[in-house]
This record gives sequence, C-alpha cells and structure tokens, in this order.
Amino acid sequence: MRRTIFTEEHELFRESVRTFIEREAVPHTDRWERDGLVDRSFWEKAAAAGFVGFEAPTAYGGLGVRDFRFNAVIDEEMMYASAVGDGFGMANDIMVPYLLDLTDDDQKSRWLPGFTSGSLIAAVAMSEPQAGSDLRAIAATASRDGDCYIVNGTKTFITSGLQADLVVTVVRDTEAGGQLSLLAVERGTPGFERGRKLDKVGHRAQDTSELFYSDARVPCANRLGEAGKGLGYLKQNLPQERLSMAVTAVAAAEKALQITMEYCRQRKVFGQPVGSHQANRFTIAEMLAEIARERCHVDRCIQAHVDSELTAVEAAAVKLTASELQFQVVDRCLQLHGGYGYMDEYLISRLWRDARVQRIYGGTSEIMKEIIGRDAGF
Amino acid sequence: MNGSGSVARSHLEVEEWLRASLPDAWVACVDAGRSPGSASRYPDFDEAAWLAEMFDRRYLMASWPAVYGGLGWSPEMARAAFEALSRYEVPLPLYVTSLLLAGHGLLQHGTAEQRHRFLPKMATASEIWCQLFSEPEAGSDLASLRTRAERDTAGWVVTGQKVWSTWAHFARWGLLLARTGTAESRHRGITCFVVDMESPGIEVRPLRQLTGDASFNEVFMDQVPVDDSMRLGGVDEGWNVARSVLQAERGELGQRRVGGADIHRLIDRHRGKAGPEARQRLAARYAQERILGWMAWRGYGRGLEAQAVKLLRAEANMALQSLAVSLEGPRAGARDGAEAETAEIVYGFLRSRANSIAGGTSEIMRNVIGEQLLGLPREPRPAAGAGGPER
Repeated sequence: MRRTIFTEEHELFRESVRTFIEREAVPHTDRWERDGLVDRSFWEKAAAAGFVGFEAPTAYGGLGVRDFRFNAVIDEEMMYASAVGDGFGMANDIMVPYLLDLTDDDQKSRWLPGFTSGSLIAAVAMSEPQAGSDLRAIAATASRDGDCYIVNGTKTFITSGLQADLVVTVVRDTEAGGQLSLLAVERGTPGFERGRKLDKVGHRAQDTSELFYSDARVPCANRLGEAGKGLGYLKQNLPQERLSMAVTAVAAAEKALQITMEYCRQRKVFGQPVGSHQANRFTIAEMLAEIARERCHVDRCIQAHVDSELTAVEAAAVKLTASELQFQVVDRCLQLHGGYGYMDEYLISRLWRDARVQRIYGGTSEIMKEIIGRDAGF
Repeated sequence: MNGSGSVARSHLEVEEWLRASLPDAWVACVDAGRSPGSASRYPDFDEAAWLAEMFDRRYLMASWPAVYGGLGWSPEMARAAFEALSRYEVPLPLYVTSLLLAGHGLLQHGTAEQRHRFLPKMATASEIWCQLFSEPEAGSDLASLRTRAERDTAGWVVTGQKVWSTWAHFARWGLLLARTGTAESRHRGITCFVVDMESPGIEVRPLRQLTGDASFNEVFMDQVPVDDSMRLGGVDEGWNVARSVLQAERGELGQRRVGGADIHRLIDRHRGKAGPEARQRLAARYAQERILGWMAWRGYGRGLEAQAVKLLRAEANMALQSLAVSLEGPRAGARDGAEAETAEIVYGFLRSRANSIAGGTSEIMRNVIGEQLLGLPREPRPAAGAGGPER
C-alpha cells in the first residue's frame, strides 16, 4: 500500500540517507558489531551530511527543520540497511527536544554547535539499578553548594553512556523539595565516573553503560529548564521517544520479513522452496497482513505527531503494538530459517536479538498497558 | 526386577547417593521445595568430580545391560533414577544427550562386537560422541543428505559436510549418516557408520550461536576412511537407525527442559512481589510444567508420541523462558547486570530459542504427528522420494 505521509522532499532526503548509509555504515557493520563500538568518525560524517540535530536553528549548525518525518526516514533507512550505529534515534528523536526546548541561549551556544557537528555526543540518564520502569523511584540527589549542584547516585542502562560528552541526568533536587530536576553533566566533571560497557542481549555495537556520581560538582548554569520540573519535562518528551521506537519496530519487522521471504524462496526442503509449503505460506501471509496493519497505525501516529496531536496514550499504544509485533515477526522469521536462524552469522539472529529490548526500553510493554488502561479509567 | 518394590529401591538408592554427594545447602533447597539453582552457586562443590562419580555409578545409563556398562535396570527403574536426578536438578552436560542417543542406536542396531567395543566407555562418559546427521542443505529434509560413502578395498571412504554437530570438537566418535545409494535414492540409499573423529580428513569448525556460545560445529570430511566393521545396520538401511535415534532424541528432549529457569525457581523469585497479571501467567506456566512433569514420570512419549511430547516441551519452555525474561523487566536488557540470576535468566531465554528448532523443528513435529500418528494427508513429497515412509 502506498504510504501517504511523505512529500517529495522527504523522498529526496531518503535517497541521500540511503546512499550515505550504504557507503559509510554497511561496509563496517560487521566490524562494529564485533568490536562492540561504532567508529566516532562515522558520527562526524553523518553530522557533516546534515543527519544529526538537523532540527537545530541554522545559527547553531542545524537546518532549522522540525518535522518528525525526516527523523522517521533516518530511523527506517537504518533498519532497511540493517546497519548498526543506531545513534540517530538517540540523538535526533530523544536528545533534540531536551537540547532545543529546555535550553537557554547560553546553553544553546555552548552545546548545539558541537552536537550538530558530531563532536559532542549527548545522552540522557534516567534509569537506576532500583528505578527502571518507575521514574518515581529515582534516588540520585542534587543539593546546592553556591553556584553548583552536588550530585550523588548511580545510573544504569545509559545508551551512549561511555561516549557521551554531555549527560542529561535526572536527579532529586533537594532545593526543589525533592522534585526532579535535569542537569547536563559534562565530560570531565570531577566526581563523575563511567562504569563498564554492559554486555547486552542485542545492540552489541551500541555502547550502554553505568554512570557513577559521587559528589560530582555540576554548575547551576547546566540545569535544563526550571528546578523541580523534571518529571514534567520527561513526560513531555516520552511520546516522541516511544513513537521513534515504533517507527524502528515496524521497519525492523518489514526488513526481517523481506530477508526471510528471500530465504524461503531460495532454500528448498522436501523438493520445493520452504515458503511454498502451505503452513509456511500461511505464516508469511499472516506476517504480511499484520505488518500492513501496523504500518498504517505507525504512519498515522507519525502524521499526528507532525500535527502536534499525538497524545501520550496514543504514543504508548503504538509503541506497545509495534514492538510486540516486531518481536513476534522476527521470532517467526527466525523459525523459518531453521538451524541457520540460531547461528550468529545470519542476519535474522541479530534482528531477533536486537528486537527483544524494544519491548523493554522507553517503558516496558507492561508500563504501556498501565498508561493506556489507567487513561481508560481502570 | 520389575515390581514396584524395585522401582522404589532404585529411586531410594539414587536419592541416598544424591543426598550424600551434593552440598547440604543444595539438598536443603530441594527439601524445602525450592530450586537449588546452578552449580556455580556452590563454590565448594566440585562439579567435575561429582559428574565423574555419577557416570561411574551408571545412573544415567541404568537401563543398559550390565555387560555393556549399564546396571541392567528395568525401564521403570531407570526412569525412577532419572526422576531423582531431575528432582535434585543435577547439572547434566550437553553431551549426555549425544551419549544416550548413540547408545540407543548401538543397542538397537549394533553388532555384539560393536556394543562391547563402544558402550562401556560411553556409559562412563570416558568417550564423548556426536551426531553427524544434518547438512547445510539437509536439515528438516534429512533424507536429502548428500555426504557420500564410497566403497573401496579397505571399506568405505566418506566425503561431505555436516552441520549442527553438538560437541563434535570434543567428541571421540561420531554417528554418521551418509549416502550410499544414488543421489535420488533419498531414505532408501542411506547408511549409518561410526566414525573415528581423529581420522585423517576430518576438520571440525565451531559455529557461534546467538547465545554467543560455540557448542555446535560444522564438520568437513574429505576422503575419510571408515572400516566396514564400523557400519551400523545394513548397507542402505541407515534410515532405520536414523529414525530410531531421532525418535529417542525427541523422547529425551520431551523428558526435560533444555535451557533456562525452572518454574519453581521463577515462582521463588517473584513470591510476594508478583502483581495480579504476573500471578496469572506464573500459574498458567506452573500448570503446564506440572503436566509435562507427570507425562515424563508416567513414561508418556514412547514411539511416535515422542514427537508430541517434544513439541509440547519445546513450546512450553520457550513460553516459560519468555515469561521469566518479561518478569525481569528492564533489568533483562543486559546480560551482566548486578545480579547473577538475571544474567542466568537472560541466557536461558536465548538458549531456549533453539528448542523449537533443534532435534527436529516444531513444524516437522506437527507434520509427523499429523501424518503418522493421526493418519492425515501427507505433505507433498518430491517425485524421487515418493512412496515409503520417511523420518
């Protein structure tokens, strides 16, 4: 079915993103996955091509275009190319709203030029060992000492935690009666240490780590927005983060099914292609139909977000259905690959491993159901 | 020795030994109806020495005749022994399956000389075995295998490639299926051999799985000499060996879970903390696991029904491990989080993904159940293989 949300401008952008990924990411993907790290030079090239922080005003090195469809194009093309180096979703879909909407002019001029040129990598630190799904359980604290905050606590599962030059850290602000504040902690801040790179089920090329703050001194000038309003800011940005995951999820399902259909055409079993056996034909047909349904859902949500209409509940719903479908699809696709599906060298095994966390991060499927169910009054 | 008295005695003997040989804390967990967890939690427990003694006592191969290194126990007594081992959740290495299956093949199809030569060392696990069945182009469709065994003056010469051979990199012997008939002969032109894995011309290359482990291998055979005395069953009659070994494998896979947390351990982990939805899901899994446990205890799953039990067990364990990882919530994102148990649960989830593939995919299980157990219309076969029963 023809997609209706994109204009010619988006399609031209898609072409250039695709060409860039094929040239700069695809040839290195296996090595990055093996080494557990994406070359930093890739990120600088992507920024130079205008694919990082393009929503920033031109004065700060961006393109001044705030249109989530461009974000979606990059997220989709990364999945269609099965490239790793998935920092785009983190930078464009998650960090940009913090760095653009919550910063004052001084902060913008300090951070945005680096961010849009790829020399400054940003991360957001919410989760803690005892506070994952439940943001209200956050225990990291910040107390005032002159023109600085003194930050103490531990954060975990921080995407780009090792590479980040700027970590937006969620803390309990004692000055603000224990409400949450957001502090941008810079590389080299005394008392700010990084833990090991976590060994994950999937996303092996992505750096995910623990962060430790012990009496870390963070200038008050690094606070984003007003003191004590952190929870509101987080809630305001979560819908876009969740939509971004849904965009990736449905694109991943499309990619998995595409490579699986190729496998099912080529591989013969009992004298005919795997996909020609009726049970397998039906499995493939179900997946095609389910993905088409979810594709419409996701596209409608992208458009609603572009029109500033997407609600938190709608974002939770699309994140839930798209990520659950992604996992069901990659699981069936792995099964259709037989023994090869369980082997590391086959792409489907990576797509399966990488899919699992989609039902967890950005709020687990269970939390999404809580959001939807409570909104319905139950 | 077939009465219920001897069954009780065999159970008692194994249980007495388990209680004496396992750490006190391990036994205390079992007594309290809790899971002891993995062996690595007991730093003073010498797993290798314990395994050596278990093999020395032949409890796993208890049903084999004493003359071949077993204990000569009846199937019921052997099952009681196995049940005791399962109840204490003793660590069984992956190669146990290969040993039991190769042993089954030799007992059913081997000559007396072959049995005397191989079974005693198999019973004590002093020689490890692997299967050389699947090929890159012959997995579910095993009868299309292409590895060739050609006659020569001294016996046979084997050339071809095998895949998914568990523990082939440590194995002393391999149970091989090779084509001896025409290329189109399918199941009617296959012969079974025992191959010395130290023979010239064999190369074993480990394959990395999605768990990160490399317990499977590709095995390349180039002009590997095999003596005719190593042939198991008649020439071109290897399919019978394959079928009985695969059936035994599926029966074995139906008897125990492969990979991941046990339901009791999962319940322990969430006791007092599980919300209503988690409680529902745990209860559903508990019921399923109990039923599978009873089926194993009653010896259900002989013959063709082995495929039904294997299918149920695979799907039940994948659902169980999927629940385990869901209940971990965000912690399950990393394999090496703060807690060892989380890492074990995540590993178990990854490991269990192979359940619906290894030993015959769930699709093949449904085909066999439909066609052979229920007599439903058959899956279309390629022309050359039309006719006789396969699998």
